Amino acid sequence: MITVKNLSKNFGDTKAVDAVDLEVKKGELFGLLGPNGSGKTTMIKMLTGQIKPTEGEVSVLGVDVLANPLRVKELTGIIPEQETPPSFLTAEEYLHFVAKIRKLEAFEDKCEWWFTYLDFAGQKDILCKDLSRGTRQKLMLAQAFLHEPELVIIDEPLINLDPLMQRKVKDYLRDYVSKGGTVFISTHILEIAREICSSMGIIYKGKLVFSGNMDDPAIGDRPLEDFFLELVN
Amino acid sequence: MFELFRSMMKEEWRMHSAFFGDRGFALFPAVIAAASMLLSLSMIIFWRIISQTDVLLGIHYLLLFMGSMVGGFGLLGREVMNRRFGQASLLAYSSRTLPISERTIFANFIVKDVIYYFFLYVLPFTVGFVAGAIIIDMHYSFFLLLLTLFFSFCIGLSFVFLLSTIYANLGKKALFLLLLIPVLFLIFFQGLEFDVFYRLPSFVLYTEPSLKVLITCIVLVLVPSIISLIFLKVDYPQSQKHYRNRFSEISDKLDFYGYSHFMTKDYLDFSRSEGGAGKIVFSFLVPVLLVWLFLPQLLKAVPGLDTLVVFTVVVGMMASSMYNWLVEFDMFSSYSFLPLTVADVLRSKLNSYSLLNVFPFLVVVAATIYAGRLIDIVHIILLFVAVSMYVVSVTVYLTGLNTTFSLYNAGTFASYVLAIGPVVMGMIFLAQLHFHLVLLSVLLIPVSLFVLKRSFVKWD
Ligand SMILES: Nc1ncnc2c1ncn2[C@@H]1O[C@H](COP(=O)(O)OP(=O)(O)O)[C@@H](O)[C@H]1O
Ligand SMILES: [Mg+2]
Repeated sequence: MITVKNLSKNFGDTKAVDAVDLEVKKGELFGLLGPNGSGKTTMIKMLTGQIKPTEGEVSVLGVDVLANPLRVKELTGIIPEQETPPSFLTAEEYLHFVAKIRKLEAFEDKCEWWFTYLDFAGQKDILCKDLSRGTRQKLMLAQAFLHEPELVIIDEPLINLDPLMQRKVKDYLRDYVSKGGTVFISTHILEIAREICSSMGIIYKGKLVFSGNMDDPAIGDRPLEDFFLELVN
Repeated sequence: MFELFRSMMKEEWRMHSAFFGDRGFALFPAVIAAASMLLSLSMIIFWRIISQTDVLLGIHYLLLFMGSMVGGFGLLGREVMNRRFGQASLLAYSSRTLPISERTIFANFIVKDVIYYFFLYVLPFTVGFVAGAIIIDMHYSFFLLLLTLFFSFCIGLSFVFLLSTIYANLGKKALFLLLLIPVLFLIFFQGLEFDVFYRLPSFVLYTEPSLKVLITCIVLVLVPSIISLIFLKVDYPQSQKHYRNRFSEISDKLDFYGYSHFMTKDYLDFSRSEGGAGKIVFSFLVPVLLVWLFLPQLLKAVPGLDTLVVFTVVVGMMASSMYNWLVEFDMFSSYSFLPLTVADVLRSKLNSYSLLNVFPFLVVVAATIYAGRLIDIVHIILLFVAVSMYVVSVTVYLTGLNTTFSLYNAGTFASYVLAIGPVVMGMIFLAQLHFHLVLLSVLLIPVSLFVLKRSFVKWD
């Protein structure tokens, strides 16, 4: 699904991502974990063709991201870290707009389903610029899954959501994977990984310091925080 | 208090230089100075047909116009800023989180604008103009000119602030009524003596300085600003207005266009944003009308010039400003995760642009009929289409989706002027030689298409 070889990105002197090798297989719910500023967002932007790597290769769903970023964006669903839906469309209009860009047909019911599932039908006729951050995040979630892609890549999926909604999103992601989809998420909250992920990678200062399944014997039963501290020290 | 002022200054500078690059932005005053120097140097050619007084009059109106543009940016552009930087990040909105009154903040805001743009526009403009004049042995009193041009600028700024306050308090209708009065007045008195324009107080202060005129100028600057401050009303967009879903309905109607959903979005952005569709009236039709009224008067100074041709060229250039409106609402980052390229977004904007061109097109046709020149309609339409296309293609090539900000970059701005100025002047000159030569403007069309093609490659 995702193959990354020797991937690096420098911003001036900062090595935001430093020679990362990574493989994510079909049907996984993969979590990229790491503290703030460790390079998760940069990594996701390279996976989705939003920025060009300084070095290395990325292939997503068999497509070379560097050569054909458009195709990758067609095939996947993406939720960027900073959600910026256009200001003057209502939430519902925005979903219809995305559906048109993705050339979908008969999308109204699907949109409706999302409004109900994430409980924001009451806000669907409000302009995006007036929506709260949480509601915008719900909208971004809906837009990413609208075309039912094989692979969804989400930067910080639970950000700004209340516990009830976090629960619903986690359930949805697990369910999506069980139905054959693949999900790649990044998060700085380590414990989320144990709750929902089937495999994970830990990134620290741009370097991938661990990658493997959640039942990897190296992790054991201890809290992920302890495991992380041990890796870093 | 002073601390707030200083931070606002810094904020303004950072905001600009972040967008245009430090050097590009610092050079901007130099470009202004160079342009005004060229203007005053060109008098060596034009002195036979334009008097020194008329040139002075012209630059006082130019600065008045610049002042109202800066003010207008405050009025219409605030929203753009919010969208780009987020409200919370602008100091002007900090009264929500800091113990400072809105009035204090806005007073600071106005003073900051005045000082900031004094150094950005007024000072370099005056320096360039006076320096150019010295070279060709014409003499102006530098400090007096600096003062009177500054007054022109401030009067423009202050009146637009007043308009924005009226708008905030009384709404659209009152504002349009207010704008309509002078316009109707001008139409009604079309035989109007040109002398009226010579009574601009800041201009009079230069030609016939007196205490009385000085006081008039000060009053014209202070009174509207003070009234605006007293009736200041800041709307925080807290209200969550509900809107009917109009997306599918409109986009189905536009389905024959390849980019119907983008055009629908452009339309909704445009009509739901501050000022609404009234922006067309406010920032396009009113200026066009003013050009229509003033142009014959101004051209009297240059006998033999074809007014209709000049008007068409000016409208074609003004039409391209509609492209700025269209891209104001978008940053590519809001599309970067969707299967779209920058070229797709540019193409969609150009589609909307062609549709909006119906308005200036009708204006040009109406002007041709009004001038009793129906015979020339083909020439005029061709000229309009060619100029509008050419100017917009240059704009797209140089600035992509970031037009408003990029044009403040010295290099970009200079290229813009150099690419457009000579072509436009050339068209007017050709029309002068022989009216049929206007048909040569058809050549601009393939040139524009080529420039657009290059733009798509450049911005991807
Ligand atoms: N556009 C950029 N320019 C310069 N530095 C950047 C840019 N984007 C990210 N960085 C730097 O790269 C590092 C990784 O950032 P990021 O990928 O956003 O981390 P994370 O998402 O894990 O919090 C940080 O040190 C950040 O400051
Ligand atoms: Mg991040």
